[in-house]
Amino acid sequence: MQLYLIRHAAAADAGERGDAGRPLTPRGRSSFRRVVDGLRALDVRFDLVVHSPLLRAVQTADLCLPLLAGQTEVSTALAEPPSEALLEHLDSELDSIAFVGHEPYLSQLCAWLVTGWQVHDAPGRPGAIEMKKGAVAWLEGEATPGAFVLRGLYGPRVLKHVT
Amino acid sequence: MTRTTIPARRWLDHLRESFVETWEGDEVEGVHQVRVAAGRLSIWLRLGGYRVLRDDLRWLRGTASEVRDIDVAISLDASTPMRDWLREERERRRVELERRWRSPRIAGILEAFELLPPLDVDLARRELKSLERKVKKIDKSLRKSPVSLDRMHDLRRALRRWRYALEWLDEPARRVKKVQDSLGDLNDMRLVLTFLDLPHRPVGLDGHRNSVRNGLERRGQEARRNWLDERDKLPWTTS
Repeated sequence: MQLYLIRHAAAADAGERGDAGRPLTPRGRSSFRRVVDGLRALDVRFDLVVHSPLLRAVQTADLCLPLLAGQTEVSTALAEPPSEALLEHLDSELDSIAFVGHEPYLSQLCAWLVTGWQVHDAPGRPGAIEMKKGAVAWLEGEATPGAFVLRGLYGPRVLKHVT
Repeated sequence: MTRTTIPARRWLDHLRESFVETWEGDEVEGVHQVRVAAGRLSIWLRLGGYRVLRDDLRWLRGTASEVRDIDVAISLDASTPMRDWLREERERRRVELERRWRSPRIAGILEAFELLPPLDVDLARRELKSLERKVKKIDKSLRKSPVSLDRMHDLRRALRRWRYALEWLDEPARRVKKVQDSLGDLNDMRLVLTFLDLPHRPVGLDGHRNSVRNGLERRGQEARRNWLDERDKLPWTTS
């Protein structure tokens, strides 16, 4: 299984709707469209896109849809520290799944899936992986923590220049 | 003053209230209203050009339909062995419904809708035309060919989507609703037949099944005639 962890694109500051309601900025949108173009050039396709319900993740997931050959699914588990609930989305019958979410949860999830250890259980420990806004981590493996390999970690600047 | 945006609020609140109604009030009505609210919110997304979240609402409608379809069949089919069997089937499906509706996906749907900004009216009007064109396309094929229950079903769904879009835009939709309702009766009969066709249905219902099947064909002809009579009275905006 290929799993792509995608951090939302650049979003505006919190307004009336608070942090959860922060929309993508026009620049964040246009930049992320080029990220999607880069992924397409690399032949990346998704059978399932799971995304957080926070507005910036919903809007980023919407921009990912040109790469989708299946369905989308919203899950509150992507707006929280990584938990077993997220693993239920790793359907072993699917070849390629994308999770669209937030930091620091995505890098914690990445570390958990690769090492089998949940780093957020150790308060104060710095994250071993840094994901910029619009970045993509590409993992490959079986749907179990510790059974994934990190194949690539691409910042948006790299993906925008793939095409 | 003319409004320029359309918030999802009214039907989002209705969806929340219908979940409460399902668990704490009239369950049959609650399940039905969850399905109605999910359908309306799905059209709202479509009018706003959103593709994301529509699969979640389709899933939600599907989960509700599994129970609602049995409720409709129970209300229409008075034959005792069938009704008793349907009640047992409903209980089994209800347990599954509860498991699904207590999942994080429902919380995600509600939270995501809470955060989506209102739709732009001009964008919504453009999408309204595409929903209207879909109805016209089915109408054209219905006028050319003999009655097909599948096609009548497609027409009912297309009319429902068009009507919901008209209502989001505060446009008159009464006549569309009337035609849609008449096709809904046909669909309800079709639903009863679906259950009578299941391989694990109770024994001894073959005569009953044939009578429903004959009634359905007759009703299909009537519904088609009714559609051809009513179609010119609908609020078309495209030629």
